[in-house]
Amino acid sequence: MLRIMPREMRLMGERILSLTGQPKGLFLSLVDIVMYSQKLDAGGFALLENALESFKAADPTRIAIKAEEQGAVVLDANQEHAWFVLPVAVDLLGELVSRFGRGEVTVENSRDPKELIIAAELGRRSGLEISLDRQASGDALRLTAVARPLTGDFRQDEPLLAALMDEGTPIHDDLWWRIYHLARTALAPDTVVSRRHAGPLIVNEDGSVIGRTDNDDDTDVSFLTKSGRDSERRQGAGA
Amino acid sequence: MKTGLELSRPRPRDGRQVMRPESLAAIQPSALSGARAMIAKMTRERWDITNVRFDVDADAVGTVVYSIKTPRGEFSFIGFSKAPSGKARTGRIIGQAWDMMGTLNEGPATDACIESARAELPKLYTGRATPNALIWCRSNRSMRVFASTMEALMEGRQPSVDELANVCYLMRNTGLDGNGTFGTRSYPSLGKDHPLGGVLQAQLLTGYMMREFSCDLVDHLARLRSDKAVPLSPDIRRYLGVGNGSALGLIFYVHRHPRLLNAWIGAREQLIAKARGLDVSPSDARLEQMIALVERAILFRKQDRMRYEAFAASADIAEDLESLLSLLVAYRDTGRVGDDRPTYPFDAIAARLEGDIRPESLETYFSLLIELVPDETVAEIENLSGRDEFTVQPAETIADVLATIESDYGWALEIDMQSPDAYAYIWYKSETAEEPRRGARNEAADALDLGLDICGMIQALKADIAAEPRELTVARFLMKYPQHRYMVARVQGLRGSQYHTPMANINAEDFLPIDLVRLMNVGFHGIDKTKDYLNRNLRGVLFHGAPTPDDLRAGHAGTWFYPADPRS
Repeated sequence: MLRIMPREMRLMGERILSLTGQPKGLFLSLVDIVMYSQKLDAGGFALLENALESFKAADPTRIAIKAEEQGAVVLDANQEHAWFVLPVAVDLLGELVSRFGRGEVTVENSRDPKELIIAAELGRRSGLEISLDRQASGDALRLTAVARPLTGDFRQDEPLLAALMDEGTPIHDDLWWRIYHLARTALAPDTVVSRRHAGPLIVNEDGSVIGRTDNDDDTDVSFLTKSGRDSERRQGAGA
Repeated sequence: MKTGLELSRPRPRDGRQVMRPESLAAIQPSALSGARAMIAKMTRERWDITNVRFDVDADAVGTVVYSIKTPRGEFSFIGFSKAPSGKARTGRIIGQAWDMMGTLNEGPATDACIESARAELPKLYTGRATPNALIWCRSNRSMRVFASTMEALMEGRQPSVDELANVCYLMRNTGLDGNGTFGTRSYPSLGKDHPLGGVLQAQLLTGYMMREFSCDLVDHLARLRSDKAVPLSPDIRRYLGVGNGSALGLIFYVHRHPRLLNAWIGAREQLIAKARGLDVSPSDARLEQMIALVERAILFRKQDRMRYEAFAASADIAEDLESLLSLLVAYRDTGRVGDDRPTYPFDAIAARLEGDIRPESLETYFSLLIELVPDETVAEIENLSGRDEFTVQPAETIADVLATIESDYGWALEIDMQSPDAYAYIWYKSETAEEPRRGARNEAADALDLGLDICGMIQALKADIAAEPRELTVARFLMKYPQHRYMVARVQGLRGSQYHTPMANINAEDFLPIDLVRLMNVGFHGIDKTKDYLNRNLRGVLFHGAPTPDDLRAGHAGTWFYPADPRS
């Protein structure tokens, strides 16, 4: 087992979610959900790996309010994944608590509904105490919320996040390195052209240099003009 | 009711003025900058840094260990030195030849920690740190300056200051990774009471240790190679900082830590306003202190041999500072600034200079003014923080969000995002060592855009809000428009603060990344003599003039920054 810290989980999670083609403003809200799922020993990164392909077709606008009355909402997830439902459900709970002092959201027809347990931890960041009722009919799950005033101290407000920051979370070596390599596919291949998009100087194809060379790098210019494949091979060997 | 005096008291500058990229680029190092704040703390607390192992052979191959004792705990710096290689050598992240790799750990160095670091550090992104590791780092020699310094020492003399002054360091930082990277400890877990719990402190201590290592290494190698060798003089040790190269990755950092940016720039503006509002009479000791600081800055600029591309030449800054000096001296001698006898002379001088001198010169003045409010500065530094997480406030109406967008993001709404140049460039990372890159979109057609398109996202959000009833709650709006979730949370989370986001479209043809790189390196980190390259890279000197470990142990006080050439 490896001990993986939030920085790396967030980085890899974001990169992998970027591969779904979903808008950035949407998938950035899922990054901590994956991390919390891992810490709670729910689906976590294994689920991300398995569900990734289906996320490309996700459409959270299909999540709809099926019924609503005084502080209680029934959400039809319409087969969207629970991770996409969670932000919607927590938002609605927050709105209902603000209006009625208490909120109730029943989620129907979500995929991987057990992942909705993450709502309790997500809710804390929003100043909500969320509990999960597994007694709702069928596959539906009912989330209820009341206010839980924030103290401003993240250790008190978000104990799971604090635990993550302190200890990280254990992840099987094999799984983590698969995640790592999957995330790398969101990065661009190294090419001679793309190497010109960074650095204190630009090496042209003919070996001439654009820019000042008083950068004190003692740069091996031939290294910058080698093909990406050569460079990758060395990187792999180094790894 | 406020009195006239209170109403005229200088106030922090408006965010709409400060947050323009060209304004941010002009910010100069100050007591609030990481390096200076770190040295002040180490001096105040008399940190005890000692070398406890230096097993390095004449080829520079071996292991070094330092102990760093603070009043609240011990740290260790473990370094692995290598013989320099010219192959695959470059100061960029994609470089593959480093002369030193090291780790900053909590607690004394154990054999297990040393051996684990020796095995794992070379693996970089696939290596795993021990749980007590805070930073992994690597550095390279300045080959020419290191060699000439070593030769001089071997011959029993000190190195040529003229030669040193072209670079001002022996080794250059080529990477600092921490905060959970490679399994290092998360910084939010440190807490304010931790000796390195402040912003950037772990990174800066590591930078300082690189400087110490570079000086000890050159001394050590000279001694091994010559019976006549002499050690570096303390004056030269202080003068030599550690080099630093930074570039595009800092733009990602700026966008990902808006609360921290707001806290830091806000603190700086508060301190400047406080200092501008000091009631100093012509005989006030603080006026003499200010005159001495400006004289020091002038000499520093006059002795600067660096060549700048986009930024003002030091000779020009020195000329501007001479104008400032003459105003300060005139006030001391006559009690007047021009024809006025001002209540707030530092403010009156700033008002006279504004528009007449270069922005970097004015910011130098402001940075030096901060020296006059030391207690307030320490208090601000201790309170600097900013969480990264944003949360939607779901019960608000979209009318509230719209009002915030219109009041806080006018600059973003004014930018023409339909222009052909608006998305001319793309921000991405190479899979090789994750090097951040910015290229013409047509040259990186397959790359995923990793930048944050604040302007485009704000404009799209506003357009969708406009299509909905104003009384709709954010919760309901985001059900229909989930693509706006991050930006809504960010807009709500940053409401009421004015220094969080540089006012620029980072994808545009005319955006100059160097402006924000310089903000971070010069203002935030406190790096001097930052040479700019191709409007995207900076090379500079960290801890230029900083006290040695002997000075720290002795509680060395006084001004160390803006060092004069050692022979002067």
